[in-house]
Amino acid sequence: MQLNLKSFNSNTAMKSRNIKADTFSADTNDDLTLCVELIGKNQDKLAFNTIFKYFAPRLKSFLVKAGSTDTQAEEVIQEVMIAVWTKSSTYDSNKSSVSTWIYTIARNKRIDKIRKEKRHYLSESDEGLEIPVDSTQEKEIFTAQVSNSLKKYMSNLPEEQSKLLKLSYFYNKTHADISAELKIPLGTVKSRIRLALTKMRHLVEVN
Amino acid sequence: MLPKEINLHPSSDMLLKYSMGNTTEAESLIISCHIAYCAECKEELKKYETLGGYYLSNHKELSVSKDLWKNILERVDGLDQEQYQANYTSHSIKSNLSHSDIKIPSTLSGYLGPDFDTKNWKSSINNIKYKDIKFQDRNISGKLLEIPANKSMPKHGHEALEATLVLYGGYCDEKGDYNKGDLVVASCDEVHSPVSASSGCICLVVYSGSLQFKGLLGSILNLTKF
Repeated sequence: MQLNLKSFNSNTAMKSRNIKADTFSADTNDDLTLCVELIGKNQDKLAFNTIFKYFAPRLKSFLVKAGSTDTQAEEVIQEVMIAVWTKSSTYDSNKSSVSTWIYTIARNKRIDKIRKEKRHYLSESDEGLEIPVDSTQEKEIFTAQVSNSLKKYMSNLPEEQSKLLKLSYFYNKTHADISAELKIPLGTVKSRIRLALTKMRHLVEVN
Repeated sequence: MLPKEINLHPSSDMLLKYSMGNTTEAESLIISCHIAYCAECKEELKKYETLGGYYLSNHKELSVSKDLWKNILERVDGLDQEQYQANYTSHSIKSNLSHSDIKIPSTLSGYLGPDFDTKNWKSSINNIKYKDIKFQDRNISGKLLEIPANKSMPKHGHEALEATLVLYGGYCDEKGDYNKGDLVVASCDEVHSPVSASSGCICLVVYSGSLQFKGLLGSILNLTKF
């Protein structure tokens, strides 16, 4: 991906390096984090364009695969990018990676399009409702730790399970649809997803 | 005294669907309310959202139309950064059960309209107050219930989907005690005779179908027409 952004009057020292698709490589993550910080601090359009170039084609591909039309997908992308522009100063790299942050924005914007109304994800004001957990059980989870254990989980997950997990949850396909699409018996689809979930659950508990 | 532990949680399957935005409106509401009380599920959700970010970041690309970037630039022109503010809106309801207002999750407050005082809710048997919650899918309904202390409901058992989330106080039946934050899913083949706790109970119930109910709501519905 080449950046060609001379038309933007950017006063930042950000290197306009290529951001590769090798996710969770420290470099990519750092670059994306830096971009969001620059948008938050300086409304930096070069950084904003970098985020756009990295995420827009991925979001489009995902949204279309999950059932949106081209037009709907691009409408959602516009909403996501506007949220990135206006909310970058609230982004906290200790809480989530940029990819996860943008993913959750896209999820919410997609649902807003479908339901056109109420929020279904909690706001900061809900923090006070939480029932305190016994301090010995309390765990500090750092973004990097979560990412690392997830990466490990994904690399150890057999391809057949990994594929079904993604189809079922990320693309929201029914077990019957997956069975038909991949020509695998319904029972096998169910048991493989169950296996993947059990391992996922284990990952959750180990941390 | 430490608050009672939450024992009943949504399944990993449901949480994963929720994290990916694929639960129905009613499911999303009751799960989000549970998560507001439950640190454990909040943590689990965070991992699933990280999985979403991982999928997105590794996703293959599809080219976007030429005008998209231009259109976005036009729309952000003049838009300022929203500064982070801990500008918490208070989401609470006035209830006969508590001297102080009872806090409820933000996602639920959007469904209440102007009815933040349980005095204005509709009345049913046993001085039970209720407020209807409407979803886009008309096959699914919800109710907020305010049940006075120590009320027992007659034994009953029917077939339908019913999920209850305790927001305040609690109740018990043959199978156990249910306290704040517990998400209780009634299965079809069980018979219940619930009794509200000494502090009373405020809970959110979502249910499908229009026939007969079981669980907490069922015992009330079977005695009265809402």
